Amino acid sequence: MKIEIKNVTKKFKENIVLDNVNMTLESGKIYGFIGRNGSGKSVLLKMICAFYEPTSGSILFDGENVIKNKSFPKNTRAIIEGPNFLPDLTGEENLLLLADIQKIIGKKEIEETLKLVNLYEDKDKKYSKYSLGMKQKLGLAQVFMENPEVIILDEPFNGIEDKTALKLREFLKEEKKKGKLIIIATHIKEDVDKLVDELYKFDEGKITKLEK
Amino acid sequence: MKFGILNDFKTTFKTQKKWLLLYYIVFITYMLFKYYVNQDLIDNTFALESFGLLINGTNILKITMFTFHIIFYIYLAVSLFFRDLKEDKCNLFLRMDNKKWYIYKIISIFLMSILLELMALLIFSIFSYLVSKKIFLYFFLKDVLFLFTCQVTIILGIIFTPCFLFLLLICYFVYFKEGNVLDINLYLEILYLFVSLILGVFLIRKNKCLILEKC
Repeated sequence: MKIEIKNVTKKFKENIVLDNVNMTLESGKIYGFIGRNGSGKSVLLKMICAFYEPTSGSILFDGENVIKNKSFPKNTRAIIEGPNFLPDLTGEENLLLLADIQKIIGKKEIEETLKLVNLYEDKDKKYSKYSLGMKQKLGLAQVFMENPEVIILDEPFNGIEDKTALKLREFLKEEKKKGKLIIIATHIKEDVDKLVDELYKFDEGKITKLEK
Repeated sequence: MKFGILNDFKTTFKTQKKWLLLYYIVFITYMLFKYYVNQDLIDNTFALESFGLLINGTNILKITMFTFHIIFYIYLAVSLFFRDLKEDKCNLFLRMDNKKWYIYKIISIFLMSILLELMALLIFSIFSYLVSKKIFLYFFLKDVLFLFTCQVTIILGIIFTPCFLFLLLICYFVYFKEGNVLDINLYLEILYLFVSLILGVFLIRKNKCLILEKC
């Protein structure tokens, strides 16, 4: 999988959020996006997911312009700006509901993912009763459960205890070895410093690649 | 899709409890009031008035009931439709084509309207043993189609404002000039609904990013 971001500019009215961004992201690597809140990280992630359209430029998935084709990037899962689930369903029911859309996994895979994010014990609790950390874990489980090729994580370790965060970092390294393309956005550099292969800094619409 | 629709029902009944209760209380109160005023005369006019569907004339109560009836169903449809767009972007739109999502959502809204209307009819049937069963069924069909058309028009209107003005104009000629839901031409109604649904599929597919950015 190769994602090419070519001359991408994004404006909201007259406000330039991203200015002529160029980047190539490839399988088997972890990419880190760092920058303060509002620096355009989430906007770029949303454009990669084809939720937002670039004002100019293009984003290609293996040469295919997903936004132009009115489609959505295949085999891609994301958590952007926090998780959102149905409050009256349990954690597991929420995941079952989502798994029912593409029907590529069953209950067994969901339970394995819940164990991975250390949420198995709380799977039968209603989402509305979850703590911030538990909500975040469910959001991550939603991303990992269907074994996607592209993993997009916006502030993934928000509210998660050290033990689980460490476990997830190891998991992401393993996924990278399997050839996954992983993007992690955060405002805390230390969160991703040792994890990523390439690091990009977002500042006032401009993106610069940092030396590791 | 089946699980999603069931979940939409579950969510609506849980999150809109107060609205649902208000709707049925107003409906029953108004029906009892009309029953009292009409001095036990239950006919088609009584049925139409009870559902707030008779808008000819300038009776303020009739106009209020008509507005309440429509607003209730539109509010339910809009909240059901935009909940996913606002909250479930990552969860849904990386798994499902937006066209497919639109169709599922529209089916969900249609079935929800049928269920709520059926419940109102069930309550009404206590009073309506004198009304012809055939007319009763026809009335149900007309009202559900009428409400569904309003819901689709408003949803498309919120997303695509210019399209809304155009649809509203047609809607006026198809519906409101009659002043009585039973007098609306059924074929014209179905044609309008068909056109607006196809238009919806086309617009949603063409403008996915615009919709998600707006929400």
